[in-house]
Amino acid sequence: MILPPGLSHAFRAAAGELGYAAAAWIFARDVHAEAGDAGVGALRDQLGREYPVLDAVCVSWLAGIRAPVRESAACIAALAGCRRLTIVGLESDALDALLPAMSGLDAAILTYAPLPADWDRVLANFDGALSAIDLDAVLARAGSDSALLCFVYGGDDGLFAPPAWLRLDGPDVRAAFRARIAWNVLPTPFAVYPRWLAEVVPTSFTTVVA
Amino acid sequence: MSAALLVAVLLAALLAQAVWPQARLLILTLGAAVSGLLATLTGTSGMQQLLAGVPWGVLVMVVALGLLAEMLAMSRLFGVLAGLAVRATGADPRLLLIACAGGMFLVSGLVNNLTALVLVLPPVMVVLQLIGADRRYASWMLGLMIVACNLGGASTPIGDFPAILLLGSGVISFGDYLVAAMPVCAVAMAAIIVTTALWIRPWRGTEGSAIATRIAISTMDGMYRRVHVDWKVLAPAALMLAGMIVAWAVVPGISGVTSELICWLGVIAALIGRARIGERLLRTRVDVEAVLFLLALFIMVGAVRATGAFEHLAGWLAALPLAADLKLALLTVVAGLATGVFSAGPSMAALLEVAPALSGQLPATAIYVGLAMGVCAGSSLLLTAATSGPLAQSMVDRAGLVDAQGRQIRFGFTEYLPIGLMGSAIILAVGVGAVLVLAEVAPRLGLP
Repeated sequence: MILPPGLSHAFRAAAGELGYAAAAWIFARDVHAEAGDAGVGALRDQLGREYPVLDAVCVSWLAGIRAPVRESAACIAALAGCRRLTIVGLESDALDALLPAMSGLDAAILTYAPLPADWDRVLANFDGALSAIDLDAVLARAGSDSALLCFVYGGDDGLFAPPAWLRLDGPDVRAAFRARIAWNVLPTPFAVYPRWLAEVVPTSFTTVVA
Repeated sequence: MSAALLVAVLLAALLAQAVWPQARLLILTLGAAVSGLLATLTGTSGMQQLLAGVPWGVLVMVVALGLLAEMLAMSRLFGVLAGLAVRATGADPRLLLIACAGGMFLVSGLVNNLTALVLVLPPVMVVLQLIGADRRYASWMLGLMIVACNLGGASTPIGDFPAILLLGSGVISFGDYLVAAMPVCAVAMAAIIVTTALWIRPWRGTEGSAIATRIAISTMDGMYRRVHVDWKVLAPAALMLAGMIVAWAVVPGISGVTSELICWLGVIAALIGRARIGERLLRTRVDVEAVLFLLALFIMVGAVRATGAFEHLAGWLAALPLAADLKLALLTVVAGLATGVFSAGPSMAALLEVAPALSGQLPATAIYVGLAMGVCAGSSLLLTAATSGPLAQSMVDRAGLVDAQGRQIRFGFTEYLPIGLMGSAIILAVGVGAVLVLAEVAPRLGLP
């Protein structure tokens, strides 16, 4: 089965503003609606190598999982006592679940990302609950009531984070925040090399939630 | 001698800014300074007289309407509408093209062309990417939006510089212009869309697959899932805009309450409606580029006016052995050609000095709507003729659009040319036809 040739660039546009996993679930769902499991298989064959998160989501879909299993409660618990949150990586579904449950939280997202996005539009979806910051402003948000949250992906064979996390994973930053939380939004092993992401060790974080 | 020198400076500056748009402001401000110096040294005029002759009302309106457009943009109204358009058209390339062109026409009537493009183009480019548009479709989509932008801007007296110039200079009232120009522009827009749909059919290479269409809609839904119109910003802006339109239409000119005063009061009232945002907009978003551009232009045109060159040109036009309506048709065509070379603002500013030559022979409505349509046709002729063209080009470059095969989608002078030629020819044909009709029927409709 041959899928429309423009899907690769469409995925890039979607992942830039929704997040890799959120966009991948949309693509898997819509391709399945039009072309069934064969279409999802073709999606994996055509785009999987280029977008490993999409590949992993397609594998999950073909294994019968039709939606992300996302528990925000563990992340909310890990953020107890925090008044300021700096977010690395974008996953719109997860943030849609998290931010409304954390009223009063000063949340900001790092706009340093490998895929292009219209950040004004991204932020407009959070009704003022999220602002944007650059790398150089992260340390200004440090403090005893301040946390870092990073979206990660991967199973037991390795944990992968957006490259921006590597810019923050130094001893100067580690000591400056109350907590460094990883939220694994796709706890599935990658079958292909996780391009666009960087391998991190779980000890980079004070807490890993899934 | 002084006339030749000052005309040469004006023409050289206009040509140079058209050739090197990246240095537009430097060239025009230098041209204005040189014009001032030459006029002073030759005794033609002085800097005080040239500055006193600047139509400051036009500059007030440009600044005020620009700020109002910023407020409308901040309300996110246009992004929400773009999302709705994708859903309503089912991301069908045919319907999308028509909806985008029509939508741009309407938006441009309310806000200036640059703001309209900045508001509407980003979501459209996302959709082009999502549906896997090919180069031809993308070029026609973007090109038609620029033409629609120009036509929408000409359809109301507040849509773009040339129209604001007409309103601000007091040669035609808000209501008279709107009643006469809006239908003409709408007919031209419809003719362009129909011609594109029946003859060009640019979507032939972008027949959307069911999968691509479904994904495009889902992704746009996701991108705009909770983007709401900010009514607290939109309400004062929309209310004041409506109030201004009513005031422009009903307040008589003889009252002394001029168009720019209505505009100034209305926009300040809208900004006070959201005081914190209003103060920030006033401090940071005044369109200094537009103000300097027009100020320099007015000084150069003023210097040439002081030599009597425009009166001479107007006298030549009036003395042509042609019927009055044919002279107007000629002026419309000349306006189109001049705008294609010099761009809209300069052409309108210069031809406004010449157009009164016909005012004794023809209704003012026909003259100024003809002039506006000619300028609009010229603006649409080449990508470089209107400021919206280079802006669209740079936005497309920055967006890194690619076609389904992964090739970069370019949108430049050559890609735009066929669209510009077609659009410009249709606008000019409709414009010339309209002024010939208006010359006959305007008095019967009670138009001046």
